[in-house]
Amino acid sequence: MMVNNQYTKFKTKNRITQIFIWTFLIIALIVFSIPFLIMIASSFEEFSYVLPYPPKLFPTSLDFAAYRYVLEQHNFMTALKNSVINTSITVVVAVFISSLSAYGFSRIEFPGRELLFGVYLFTLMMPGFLNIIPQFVVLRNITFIPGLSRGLVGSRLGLILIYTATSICGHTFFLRNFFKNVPLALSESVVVDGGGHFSIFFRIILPLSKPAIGTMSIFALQGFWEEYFTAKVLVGANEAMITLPLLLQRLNGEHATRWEWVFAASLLALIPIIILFIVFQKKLVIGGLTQGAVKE
Amino acid sequence: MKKSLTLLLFMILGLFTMVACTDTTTVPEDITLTFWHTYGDSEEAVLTDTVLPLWAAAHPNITINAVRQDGSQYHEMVVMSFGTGNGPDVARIDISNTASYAEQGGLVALNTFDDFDTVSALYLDGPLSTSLYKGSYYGLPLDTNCKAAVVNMNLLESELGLTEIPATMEEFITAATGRGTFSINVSGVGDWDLYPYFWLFGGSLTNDEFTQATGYLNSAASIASINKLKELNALDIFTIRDIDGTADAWAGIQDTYVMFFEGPWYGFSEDIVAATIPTYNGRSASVVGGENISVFSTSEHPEAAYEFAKFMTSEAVQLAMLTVGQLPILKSLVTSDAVLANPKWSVYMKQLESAQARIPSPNNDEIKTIWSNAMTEIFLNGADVTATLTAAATAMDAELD
Amino acid sequence: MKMTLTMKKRIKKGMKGWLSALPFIMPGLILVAVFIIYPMLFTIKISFSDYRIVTGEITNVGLLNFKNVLFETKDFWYAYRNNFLYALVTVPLIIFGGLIFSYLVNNLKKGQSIFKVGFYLPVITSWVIVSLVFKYMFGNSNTGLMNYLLVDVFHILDEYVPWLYREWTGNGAIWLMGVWKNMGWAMLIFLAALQSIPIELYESASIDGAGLWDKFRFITIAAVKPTIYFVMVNMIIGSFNVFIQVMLLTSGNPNGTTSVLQYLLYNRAFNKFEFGEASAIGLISAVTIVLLTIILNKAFLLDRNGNGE
Repeated sequence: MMVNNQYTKFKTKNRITQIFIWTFLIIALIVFSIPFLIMIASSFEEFSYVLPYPPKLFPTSLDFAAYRYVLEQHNFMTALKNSVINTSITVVVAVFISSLSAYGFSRIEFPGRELLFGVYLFTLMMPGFLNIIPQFVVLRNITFIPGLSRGLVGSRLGLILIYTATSICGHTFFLRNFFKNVPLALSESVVVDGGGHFSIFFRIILPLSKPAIGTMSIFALQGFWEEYFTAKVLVGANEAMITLPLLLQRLNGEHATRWEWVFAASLLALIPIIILFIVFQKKLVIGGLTQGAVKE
Repeated sequence: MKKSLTLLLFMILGLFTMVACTDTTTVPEDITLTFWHTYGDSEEAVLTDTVLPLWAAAHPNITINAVRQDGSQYHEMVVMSFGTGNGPDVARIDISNTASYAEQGGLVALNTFDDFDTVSALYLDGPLSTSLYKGSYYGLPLDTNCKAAVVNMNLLESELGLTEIPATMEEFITAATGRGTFSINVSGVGDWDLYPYFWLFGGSLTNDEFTQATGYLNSAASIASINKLKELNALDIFTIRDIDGTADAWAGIQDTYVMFFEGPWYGFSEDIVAATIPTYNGRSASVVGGENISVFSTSEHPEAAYEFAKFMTSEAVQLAMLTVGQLPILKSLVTSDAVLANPKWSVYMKQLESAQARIPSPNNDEIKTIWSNAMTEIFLNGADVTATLTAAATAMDAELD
Repeated sequence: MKMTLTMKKRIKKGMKGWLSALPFIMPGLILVAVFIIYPMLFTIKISFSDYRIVTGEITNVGLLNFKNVLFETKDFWYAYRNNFLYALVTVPLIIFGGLIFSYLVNNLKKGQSIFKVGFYLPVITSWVIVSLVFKYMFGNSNTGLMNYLLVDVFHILDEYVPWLYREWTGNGAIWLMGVWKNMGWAMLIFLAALQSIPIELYESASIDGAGLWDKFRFITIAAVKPTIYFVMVNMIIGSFNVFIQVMLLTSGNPNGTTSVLQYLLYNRAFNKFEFGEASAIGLISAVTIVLLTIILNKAFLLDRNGNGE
């Protein structure tokens, strides 16, 4: 084993160094957590539309009324369900399609490859706001799918298609670098065994890039989970398709805001994503991202 | 590995088709109208519990799909719907945006309907005029409001030594002079915030036809008005939150400010009450707000949408919405008991008599920007009042027709 | 004869390349072409046109939109400046902070997960919510945490600061939020890169008597350089996409001095119906990022002796 995956092997035996690192990181973490402390403390209070002064970092009482209020919103469960479905389908589809693309752009030679990849990169640099209107028009015109007379407007499929499309370029860019770094020698052995590109992709690249793909899935996940703008325009008028960010925005009043509701709802929306992150980072994001656990 | 992936792919495909098939909602026989609004919780409750059942009883074949939008990005959503064609049939829109939507071609001119003249005769002139653009009416007034004074009676007595709300600004200023802490607060320098003060102290924006700002915005009276505000600021009487960095009015009225101006949505209490804005030089002033209800050009059922718009302005609906603070726009209701008997609504309806509209223009957003930029220059950067107002007047002229 | 043969060969080879690549790039390419490239071309076209949103009318106006954006008002230049400043201030801080934290976390024997999750929390929290909290922290007068700490607790300042209503304190708050929100992301990526550094390198350095700092400087930095470039490009693109915190914290006030390009673009399009000018801003922003990445790429290439991309 040439690669350091297990820190137990690491030779920083010096206790003092460990204590120093711990102290430093703990202090940094506390400073980093201030905004969260404010959110948590505030979610247990009841306000007359104005946040308290002096600011509270720790709750003075544990009043779950705000959480109850949010959970009792008649469409909270619908929103949660929609967010979970949209996000998970999008992540799986987007990551799979992007991995395929990244393989094509990293391991197969074809004329115009760099140019096409350049176009992909350029789209990353164009602001996305203005895309929404043409995207919408395209979705409206996709009427060949049975049962959708108005095209894909207001439908989950439409939203997922847009989400997937907007993430492909970035993910391809990210994954291409990793796929490139998987040693050629490995794929050659597959070719010798009579396998083609698909075998290489499924048998070598995908398994070896698990950490990279896992990392990227997390990035993708959180982006879709909190996406507001596109969802609002596409499915905002369809109450059955409401998502958590849309519901959250409604708690922001027209003239005044009940902060405890907003913060309670945000924290609730954060829980699934934290759990997913904890699970993912243990299972997937271990080991080498750039080289992978490969003997050279 | 390969097998499980194919399986996964099929599952995803299956999900896609499932999702696609569950989306059919339209029923051909009956009409469904989409209605966008930005009502808050209490208004929405009245809408769904009282108003819409009334409609359903009278029009069983026309279903209303009421969609609540967030107030903050509503204007942007409306604009976007113009581009996507996925807008509402009928919507509650801010009076100040009506002209610009009309200019874009997004709204239906309602005076083309036969009964418009009869219907419009029932509305108060002020609110009705806000939907007028180039000779046509692009909406019916739905609700109206304005700013009135919000006064903390306890502080009025303890800090200013007054037991009653003064009738004139002169009295208020005399009482507040020397207190050492700001007694009046306004949030920012935007039109909705600062116009009432600007007008109260004698300023004017344009001529009566809203076609020229030069000679009005930079008139001696307007310059004097701004200078008065600066003077009051220097005397520690009047503060602009965004300029001075002082506490927000909603918080500050509890323990610091004696008075600020706000719409009828403020949560009044026993000690914090509504009053008409004290007069200055014998005259009160305020700014008109409110919403119109308009039919969108993209609607496939403009007649039905117009029918719904009329319904929303009917006496029964207006009275129902008044219970949650939506002030009525019908002439017949101004002197009704429902208004006069209520200590809050009566104040606001009275204040409306001296309230002025903002410039009705499709370039409303530009005009707003010119105003607030000029005010920021004056109050924050200490720019010369006369020169800044003159430049702003010239810029405003270019935006007026 | 020979020429055509090689031509034929090349075409054949090219065709073969495409044929084997198509199954891989096709699904992505279709989606990207329909939902990204087509709208982008539309935007580019609009930037040279007057676009009436309701009727869909498009009239060519040449460079007028660009002229209006660049020379009519000052707000473009404030926004442009602020995007550069945002990148200049936040990107180095994010990279440096991310590196330090990842290095320290990587050297921990126990509790790595706590810090990984803890520092990553800001990244997974929605921008809107985070902006609301920051707005509260930087509240003016006696309403915010900053004023409370600086004036009431530590007495560092005598007077309350109206953070979000002044040019530089407003920009400062926007920067701080950017650093806070993105550092965890950089840390996670660096952490993954660090874990692929062969342990022997550190071992031999330890034998040579190198301390934590020396190892960080000579081994870590050198090994994660490609990752630094990746993070940097991402963060620079991100710097030109700053939007929500500006809209919610300062709205560009006072007088557009804290504005950024995306906010300007959004405002032009959806408030002022100036879709042409908005598209022009978008295009200028994209070209700027392209130029910046090319320059950075060159700089990094030279530094790395042509190693990799």
